[in-house]
Amino acid sequence: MEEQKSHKKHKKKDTKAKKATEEAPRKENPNNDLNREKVEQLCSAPPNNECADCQQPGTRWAVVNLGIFVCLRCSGVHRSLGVQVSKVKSSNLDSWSDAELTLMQILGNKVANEFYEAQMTAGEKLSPTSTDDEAAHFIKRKYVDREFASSNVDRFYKAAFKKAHYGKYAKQPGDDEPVEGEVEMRVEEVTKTAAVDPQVAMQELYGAAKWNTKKEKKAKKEMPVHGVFGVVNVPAEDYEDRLKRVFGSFGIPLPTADSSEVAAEVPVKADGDVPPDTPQTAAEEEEEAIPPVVEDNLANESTP
Amino acid sequence: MGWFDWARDWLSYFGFSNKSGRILFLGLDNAGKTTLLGKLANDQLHVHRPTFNPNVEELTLGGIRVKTIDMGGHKEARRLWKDYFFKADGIVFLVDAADRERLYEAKNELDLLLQTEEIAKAPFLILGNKIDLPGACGEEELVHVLGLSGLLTGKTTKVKDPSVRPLEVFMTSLVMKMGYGEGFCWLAEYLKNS
Repeated sequence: MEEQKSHKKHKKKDTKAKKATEEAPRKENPNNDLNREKVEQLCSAPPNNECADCQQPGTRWAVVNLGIFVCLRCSGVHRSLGVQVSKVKSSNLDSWSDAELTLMQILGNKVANEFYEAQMTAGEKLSPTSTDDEAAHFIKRKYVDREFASSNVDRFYKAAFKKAHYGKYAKQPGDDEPVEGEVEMRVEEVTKTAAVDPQVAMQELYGAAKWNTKKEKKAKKEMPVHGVFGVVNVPAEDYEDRLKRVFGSFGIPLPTADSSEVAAEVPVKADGDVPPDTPQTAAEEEEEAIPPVVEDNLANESTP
Repeated sequence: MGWFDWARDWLSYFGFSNKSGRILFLGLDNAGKTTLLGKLANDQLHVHRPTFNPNVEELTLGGIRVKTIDMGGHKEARRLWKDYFFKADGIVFLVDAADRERLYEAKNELDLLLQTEEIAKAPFLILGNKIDLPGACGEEELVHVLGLSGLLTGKTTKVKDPSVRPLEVFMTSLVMKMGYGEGFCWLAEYLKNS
């Protein structure tokens, strides 16, 4: 019953796959041997001569879709993960297509690890002397759970596959743009964006938010808020004016009786027409700064 | 133990004599040949490194002593296969059902095997492995892609005609312990006679 269900589920995919397999070219790649030689050269030179996972020297095995060269032990682990995660090939026992070779040239251990070990701390790396179980656990964490991978790893690999015409980006017949040479540079660009700091990445994704800087935050806070009884939060420098206006409209003189200092100051201000942003003493500022807050609180309580 | 025990019980139920046979495990690399051998030999699942040299294991399936030979599946290693065809009583061909891109390659290898003269009489058990993985193809599709439609000889019916080569597809998952018990029961039916 279950099998039948899954059959139905995959039916669409199935037909697609059938077509793909039927249309696959029968002929062997003529430069298989040449490609294999190139792959062997590639895996014998640094940084590809050390296993991408456990750093053991001697890498005869490649995980093509990850673009890495690994040792025999780690290739066994990769094989066990299934082809959805890693496609393992031998550098000398398998045949290599042009696309696979190009992909390996673009990626390689260094670039691939930049992405898959982006968030790795120094102690977490697998050592060549580690046991098989440790290696299996580590490789699973690295490629299945992607614990250390950078966030744009998928995007990067997609770009690399496209450049190499690997997998579903396979070259169509009659479409022969040169691949080698310019590829490396373009991928370099992608690698650079990989090292971008998170704030910039956020801005790219969500755009620059208005309240990003502290200054803007403050400015936003001090914008007048209109409550039921008019403006609720009066900025400190407007307070004097507003107080005068409010008291004046009710015909009440300014409350000079409370403090002689204010009484002494106010007439001077009114006479001399001092601009609001004149430097004032610290004591004054404190005194002036407090009332709006109180008013603010009151207003907040009264407004539903 | 599951299917294996079940298979063993089933085989001994029919009381096979102490016949001996020789089975080859063939298939593309990473199809699960060595894993299958390990599973049959000591019922353990291991992560195996790629096979370079053929692994030979003596098994007793029910009453039949079987010498199973597990060959490497890489392209270059496949050249060795023909050296072992001689006196092969049965072929087990494993296909990674989850690796859709390489089904075609598997079909090519299978076609070559089916055309080989030395093993023209040997029963052919085809195991579509790894059906536990997401994206694995079903039996219908596998039969279609491998071009076996109409060639299968039936899972329960036994072929009497000596000129017809027994051939059947079973879907298996070694991880889930599914399917291979039935497959080997089917194969044992034919080994018994040979």
